Amino acid sequence: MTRPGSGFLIGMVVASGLLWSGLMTAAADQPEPQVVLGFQPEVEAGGTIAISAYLVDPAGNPVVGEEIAFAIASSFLNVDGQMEIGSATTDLDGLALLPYAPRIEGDRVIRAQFTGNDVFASAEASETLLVTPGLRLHEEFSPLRTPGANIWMAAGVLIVVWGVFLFICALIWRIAFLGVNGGVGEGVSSGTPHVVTGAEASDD
Amino acid sequence: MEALGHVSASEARLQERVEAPLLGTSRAFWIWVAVLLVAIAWGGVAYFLQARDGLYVTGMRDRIMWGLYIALFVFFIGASMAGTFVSALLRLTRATWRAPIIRGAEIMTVAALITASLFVLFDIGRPDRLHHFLLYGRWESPLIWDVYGLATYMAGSMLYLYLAMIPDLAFVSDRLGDGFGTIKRGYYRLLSIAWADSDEQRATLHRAIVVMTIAMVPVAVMMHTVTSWIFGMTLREPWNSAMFGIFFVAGAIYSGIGLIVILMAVMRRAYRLEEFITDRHFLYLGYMLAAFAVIMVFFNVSEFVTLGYKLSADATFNLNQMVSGDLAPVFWTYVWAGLALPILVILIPYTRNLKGILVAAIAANVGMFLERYFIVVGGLRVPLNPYEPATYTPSWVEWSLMAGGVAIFLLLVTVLLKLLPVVALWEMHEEAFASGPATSPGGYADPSETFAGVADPGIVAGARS
Repeated sequence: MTRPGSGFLIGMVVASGLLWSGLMTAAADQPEPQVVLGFQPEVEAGGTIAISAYLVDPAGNPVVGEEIAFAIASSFLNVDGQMEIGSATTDLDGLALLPYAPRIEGDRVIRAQFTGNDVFASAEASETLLVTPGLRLHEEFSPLRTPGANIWMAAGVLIVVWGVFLFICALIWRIAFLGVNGGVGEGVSSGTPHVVTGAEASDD
Repeated sequence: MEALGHVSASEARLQERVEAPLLGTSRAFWIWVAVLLVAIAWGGVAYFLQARDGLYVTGMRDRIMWGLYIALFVFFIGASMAGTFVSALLRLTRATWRAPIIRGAEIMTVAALITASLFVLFDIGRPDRLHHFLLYGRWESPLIWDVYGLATYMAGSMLYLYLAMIPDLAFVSDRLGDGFGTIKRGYYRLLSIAWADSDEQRATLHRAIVVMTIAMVPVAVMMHTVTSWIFGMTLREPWNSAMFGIFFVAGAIYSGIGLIVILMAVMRRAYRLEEFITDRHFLYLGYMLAAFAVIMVFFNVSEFVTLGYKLSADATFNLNQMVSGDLAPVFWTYVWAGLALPILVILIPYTRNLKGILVAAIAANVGMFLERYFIVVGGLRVPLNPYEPATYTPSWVEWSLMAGGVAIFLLLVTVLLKLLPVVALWEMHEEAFASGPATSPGGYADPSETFAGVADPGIVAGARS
C-alpha cells in the first residue's frame, strides 16, 4: 500500500539522480586540458622570477584567451590556504606569464589553476620554488651619512645614564655599609628629624 | 653639623600628620580603594574581550591605528614629568618651598610611568608578542628608543624617589617600630638600609642626591623628546615638525604642574596638611602653571602660523579639521579651557586663590589630554591618498580601559601615599624649618611665615578670599 504523495517523492529522487548523473557525465565528457608550469627553481628573497604556465588541450594545442590564476600555499594564524599572487591570460601560444617577487625565504609551493569553461574541464599544476636568503629587503645604508651617528652612540648614551644609576646604587650600598659598620647614633644631626615626644616639643 | 636638641611644635605636628596614615586606615580609604577596584575590574573585563577578539573591538582600524590608548600614553608620560623634573628643577634652584610638595610629586611620577606603560600594552593587538620588542626591535626605530627611554626614566625616577626617602624611612622605622606589625616593621627597616644619620652617611646621601638631581633633568627631557619623535619621525604631514620635542617637553611640564596642584590639594585635605602646604605653595605652582601656559600658547601660535602661511594641501586639511571641522570642539576646548583659562585665573587677583588655581590645574590637564587626542587622531585622519578621511570614535572597550587605567594610576598613588611618608620630613627639617642662612641658603628666614599659611599679602590678595 502506498501513501499519498509518495509517488511524487520517488519521482523527485529519481529526477535528481538523473540530473546529477547527467552533469557528471557531461563533466566527464569535457576534454581535460593540461597546465604546464615552469619557472627557475631557485631565487633570492626579493628577486623577481617569471612564472610561466602553458595551457594546452589533450592534443597539445594551445588554449588561447583563458585566465590562469596563480597562488602560493600559505599559512596564517594556524590557517592553511592558497594565497593568490596574481593572474594572467593565455596568449596565442597558450602561455600565461606572471612576474613574481617572493619575499619569504624557504620552499614555496606555487600553483597555477585553470578553472575550466564550457569546452574544457578545470586543470591545475604546482611546483616548488626555493627562495634563498641573501638579498636584503631594506636599504642597508642611509643616504645621509653622519659620522658617529650609529648604534654605538645610542648605546653610549644609555651606558652613561645607567652608569650613573649604578653609581647611585653603589652610594646607597655605602650608606648601608656605613650604617651597619659605623655604629648608630654618632649624633643626631640636622638631617633627620629627631624623635620627639609631646613633652619635648616646644612652642613656636 | 649642628646638633638638634628638640623640634618645634609645628614640626612635631607635621610628624604626627605624616605618621597618621602609616599607622591607621580610615573607612573612607577603603571605600575609595573599593571604588577604584571596581573600575579596574570593569577595565579587566574590557581587556579580556579585547585580548580574545582582537583590536577589532576598538574604534581603531587600518587608517587610524592609534587612538585613545596612545593619547593616554602620551598624557601619562607628560604627567610623569611632574615629579622628577619639577622636583629636580626646584632642588637645583634651591627653592626651599619645594620641601612639602616634592614627595607627592615624585610618587605621582612613578605611578604615571607605570600607567603609561600599561596603555602601550593595551594598544598592542598581540600582547603575547611584547618580548618581540627586545628580540626583533630595530634600534633605528623611535618606538624602540621609547622603550629604552621609558625603562631608563622609570628606573631613574624610582631611584630618585627612594634616595630622597631613606632618612624618612629610617625615621618612620624608629619612631613607629612598636606600632607596626612584624612584616611592616621589617619592610621599613629593610628600606631604611641601616640609616643612622651619621655624618658620613649624610655626606654620601647628599652626594648621591646631587648627582641624581643633575642626571634626572636631561633624562626627563630625553624621555619626553623621544616620545614626541614617535610622531615627529613618522611620515605624516601634521607631525612633520622639528618643534615636537620641545613642544612635548613644555606640554609635559605644564600638565605635570597641574597634576601636582591637584594632588597637593587632595593631600592637604586628606592628611590635614594645611599648615604645611600653604596658599603660598599653590600660588607659586600657579605662577609656574601660567608661565608654561603662555609658553604653550607661543608654541601653538608659532606652529600654526608657520603651517597656515605656507598652507600645503595636507596642512590645509589638518588645520581645517581642527578650527572648523570634526575636531573643532576638541581643539577649541583645548585653546580656551586648556590654555586661556589657566592664564586668566592666575592673572586676575580675584581668582588667584587656592580654588581658582585648582580649577586652572584641572582645566590645564583636560586641555592637555584633548591636545594629545587631536595630535594623535587628527594626524592620522589626514588622508595619504585621495580618499575620504577616516573617522574614529572610541568604542566602549576603549572608554572602559581608559577608566581602568586611570583607576590603576589613582590606586598606585593612593597605595604609595599610604605606605610611604607623604612629606619629605628631613628636607622640611633641613631647609624649611631651619632658620638662618647657614642651613637654609635663600630659604625661609622666618618659619612662621612659611607654615602659618600667611602668604605675602601683596601677591596673594585673593588667596584668602
